[in-house]
Amino acid sequence: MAVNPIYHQTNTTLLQERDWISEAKKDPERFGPLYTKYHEQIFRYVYQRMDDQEQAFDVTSQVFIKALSNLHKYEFRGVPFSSWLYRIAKSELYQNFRDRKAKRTVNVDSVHLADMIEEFDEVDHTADKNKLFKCLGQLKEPDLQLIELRYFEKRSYKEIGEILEVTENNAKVKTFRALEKLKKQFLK
Amino acid sequence: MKNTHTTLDREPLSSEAIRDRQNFNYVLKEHVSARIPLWKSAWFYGPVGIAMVTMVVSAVRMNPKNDQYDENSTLSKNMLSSEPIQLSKHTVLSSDMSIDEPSEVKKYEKSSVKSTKSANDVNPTSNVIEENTALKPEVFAPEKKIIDPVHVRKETTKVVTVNTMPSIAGVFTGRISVNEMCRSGKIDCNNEFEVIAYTIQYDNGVETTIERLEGNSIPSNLCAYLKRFNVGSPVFITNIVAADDQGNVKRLPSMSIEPTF
Repeated sequence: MAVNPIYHQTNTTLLQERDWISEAKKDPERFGPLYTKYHEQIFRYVYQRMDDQEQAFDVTSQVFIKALSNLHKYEFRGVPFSSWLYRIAKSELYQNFRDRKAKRTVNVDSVHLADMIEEFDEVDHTADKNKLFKCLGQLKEPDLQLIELRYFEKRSYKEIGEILEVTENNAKVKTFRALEKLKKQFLK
Repeated sequence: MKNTHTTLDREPLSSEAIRDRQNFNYVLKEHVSARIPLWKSAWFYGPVGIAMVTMVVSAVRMNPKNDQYDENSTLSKNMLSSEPIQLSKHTVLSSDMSIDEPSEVKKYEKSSVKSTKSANDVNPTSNVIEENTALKPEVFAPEKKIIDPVHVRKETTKVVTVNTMPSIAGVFTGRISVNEMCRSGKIDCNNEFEVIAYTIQYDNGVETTIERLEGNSIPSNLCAYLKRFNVGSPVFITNIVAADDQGNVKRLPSMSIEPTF
């Protein structure tokens, strides 16, 4: 399975990012490079879980405003800055759902669905797409989030672990269990 | 009810479309406007509030009006000064008394200790008024008051003021020649009251000792200790109890003396 290439960074880029952060802590205007680098990633993460495109742009802006306001609390721990931004995005998203009393959206691609069915070792893909689509909607939020991050956004377990603040192995185990639950519902 | 909405194959947004919507200036502007000024933050009010309270408390405590009574109090003045105070013999006064309005009564209760000749203004409820005529009489000069005859009930009462300040060779507090002290050999009060017991705190050469003595005399061995080990250092005479001929017992103010050669 191909993984999201944007998240993984070399040591040089990580160190450069650390410099940008320390400069931005002194002068907020220096936050520009980080904003440019991560805007698209964060927007896609938000939009994946929302229906309304404009709302997604608003939430993305809120994520960066919050990040800039709390930048003095950020501590560099050798992982990409985006893992911190994703956590802010997650909390902003849920806040937005609560405020608007809106439903959380799961955007599924047919190709991704086919990949998942492959994981279930099923032969007839087309007949089961609709069933799987329904089963996804019945998953609990934490399980759905894991499936989404791993199978629809193609993120590595390391990245999932950093976004959800768990270890890589724990992310792997949790994703496996979520997939098992989905499979159980699917094969019912 | 499930709070999830699932969509299939939504049209993807291009990177260019997302990049076009980037607006860092908006983020920066919102960040600046969202920043709370220092004077509005709780962090500011903590230290500033404490400083303000401290200042107010200090101002109130330093206000000379609050110390007016203490300043006027001769006793507190005398206790502070190291100069010896010469006591005069007690005075017995008789005066006409009057009852004034309650507020005035209260006022005169306070000043009755100070006043020597408050002829019409003394509270008749206290029959005996202690006073020291030698202690700054100008401070205690009574105010000339116009008393409304309608509201005032005049009475003629005999008031006896008795001086019950203890002293050694006429010194109540401060420096006293140790020879003079030993020559006097006793704690005086006045003709009516006589000291019957007292406690003295002095240095006996080994440690500071507290001794309770009966009678008003200063024993010769105590004099010897005072001469040898207490010259220049304070000696406290406390719990002075005096009695009159009729057996009335009275506790007298404590003395602080400094023996000198």
